[in-house]
Amino acid sequence: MARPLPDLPDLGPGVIYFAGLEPIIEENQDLVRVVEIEPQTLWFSTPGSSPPYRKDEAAVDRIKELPGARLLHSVGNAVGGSASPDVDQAALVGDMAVELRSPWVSEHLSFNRVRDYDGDFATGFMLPLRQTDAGIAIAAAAIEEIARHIDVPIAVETPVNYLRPRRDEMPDGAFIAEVSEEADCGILLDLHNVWTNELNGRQPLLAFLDQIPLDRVWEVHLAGGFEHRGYWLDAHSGAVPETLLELAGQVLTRLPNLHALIYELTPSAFPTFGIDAVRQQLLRLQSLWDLRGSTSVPTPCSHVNTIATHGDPLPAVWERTLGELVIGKDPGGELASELASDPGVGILRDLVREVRASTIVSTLRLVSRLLLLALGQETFEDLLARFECEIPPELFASEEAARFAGYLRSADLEVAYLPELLAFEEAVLATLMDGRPRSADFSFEPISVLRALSEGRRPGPPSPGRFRIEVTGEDVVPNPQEYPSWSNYWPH
Amino acid sequence: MDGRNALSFERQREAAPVVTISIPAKIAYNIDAMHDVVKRVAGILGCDGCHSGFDFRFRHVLDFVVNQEGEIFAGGLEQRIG
Repeated sequence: MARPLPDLPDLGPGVIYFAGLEPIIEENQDLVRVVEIEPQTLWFSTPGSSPPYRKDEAAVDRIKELPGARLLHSVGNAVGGSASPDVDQAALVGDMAVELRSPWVSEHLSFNRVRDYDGDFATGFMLPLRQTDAGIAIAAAAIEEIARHIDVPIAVETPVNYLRPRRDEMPDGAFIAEVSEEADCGILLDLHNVWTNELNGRQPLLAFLDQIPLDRVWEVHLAGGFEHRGYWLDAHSGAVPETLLELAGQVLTRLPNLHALIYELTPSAFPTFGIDAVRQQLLRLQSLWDLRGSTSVPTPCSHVNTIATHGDPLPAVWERTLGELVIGKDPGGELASELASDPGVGILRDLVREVRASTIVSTLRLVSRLLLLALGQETFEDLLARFECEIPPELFASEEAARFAGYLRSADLEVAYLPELLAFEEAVLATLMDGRPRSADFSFEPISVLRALSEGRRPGPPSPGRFRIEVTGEDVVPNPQEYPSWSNYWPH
Repeated sequence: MDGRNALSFERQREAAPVVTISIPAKIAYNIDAMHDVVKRVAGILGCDGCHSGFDFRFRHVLDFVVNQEGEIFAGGLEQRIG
C-alpha cells in the first residue's frame, strides 16, 4: 500500500545549471527560483579508489553561492535496468542532496549500462526500458535500491524513446504509472520527452497523461529540439516550441502537486542561443507556473495494465541487445534483426556518436584539432567511427579521453607533433583532476604550435629545440597578464 | 628529412638547453579561452549531462577549425539552434 505523498516545498520555475549560466541566474532571481544541478557533471572519476568518484569541491562551492533553491537531477545513474544500480553514485548523490538541501532527487527511468557476458558496458546514452510486467518489477526494485542511499524522496523522469511502439509492450504512460506506484516514487514529467515521443509515432501526450497518476508529478521539464532524419530530437537546443508551450499551459492546470518547473538547455547550445533568448524562455515559464494546479481534475485510473506482457524478450536480453546495437556492435539473433530494422536505432547511434565525438574534442582539444587539420574532416571522422566501434563508451569524459589516447597510440598515426601533444594534453587532464604538477617534454618549440591549434590553424614547420612545459595545479584568475612567466613568452 | 639533416637536428637537440615553461593546468587546458577559465573547466571532465539530449560540441569544433586553405568548415550549427 502506497504511503502518503511527501510534503514537498514549492520551489517554482528555474533552469538546469551549467558553468557559465551564473550571470543569468544572478540577474534574474525573480525568474530563476530554483537551479537544477546535474551532480555527476561535477564529479571526477577516480578508478581504483573507494568510492570511485570525487566531487569537484570548488564547483560545488560556487553553486552554493547562487541565489535560490537547488534541486538535484542525476544524469549518470539511470534507474530501472537489469544491471544493479551503482550504489556509489547513489550515495554521492545522496550526500550532495543533503549538502545542497535538495528537497528531492530525480533519476532517469532508463538504462545506460548493460550487464554483458564479458562484464558491464556503458551505452553512451539513456535507452528505453523493456515495458513489460517483468520490466516493472526490475525498475521498481532498482528505484527502491537507490532510495536506500538517498535520504530525500526520489522522482523518476519520463523518458524519450525513439523506437517504434511494440505490440508486446505496454503503453508509455501505463508503464510509468505502474513503476511509480510499485516503487512509490514521484514523477518528473518531461513534457518535451513525451511530446517528442508523440511526434515520432509513439503515444500521444494527452493519452499519456490520462494514464499516469498526476498527483505524483512533482516536477516538469520543458526544452526545445530539432528535426533530424525525419525524427524530432529531444535536443535541449533552444526555445520550447509554441505548440508545446500551449499544451503545457493546459497540462500544468491538472497537476495538483507540482513543485518545480525547469527549463533545460544543453550547455553546448548556449553560446548560439544566447542570454536574451534564455531570459525569454524563463519569462514564459513564469507565466506557466502561475497556472499550476488551478483546475481540479481527478487522477485517472486508466493506467491498469491490460496487456499480457510477460513474454520474451526478458529485460536483460532487451537491454543487452539494444545496448550493443546502439554502440555499433551486432549481437545477432532475432531481436537484434528486428531492432536493427527500426530507424530509431539509427537515430540512437547518431546521438551516441555525437556525444562521444563531442567528449573527445572537448577533452583532447588540441590533439583533436591537430588531427582534423592534418588528416581532414572525413579521415578524422572515420578515425572516430573506428574507435567508437572498437571501444565501448565510458561514462566519464576523462576516461573516454584516456581510451581515445590509447587508441591513437596503437593506431601509430604519422602526424607531426602528435605524440608530444598527446602526452601534454594527458598531463593537463591528470593535473586538472588531482592538482599535482606534471611535465611534458617537446623536441620542438611548443607554444607556437599550441597557439596555432588553439586558433584553429594548422601549425607551421617545427622549430627544433628542447622544451619542457610544467603543468601546475595552482588555481588561476582569469587574467593572463598576471602570468608573466609564460604570457610574455606567448608569440603575439 | 635525410640522414645528415636528421643528425644535425639531433645534435642541436643534444646541445640546446631545456627551456622550461610553467602553465597552470586550468589555462593550459583551455588555451583558446583564457578568460573565464575557471568556470569553463567545471563540467568538462565529469559525466556528461547531455547523454539524454544532443551534444553540439563536435559540431562547434567543425565550425571553428579552418582547413589548410584557410576555409572554415561549415557545421550548420545555426540552423539547429533557436
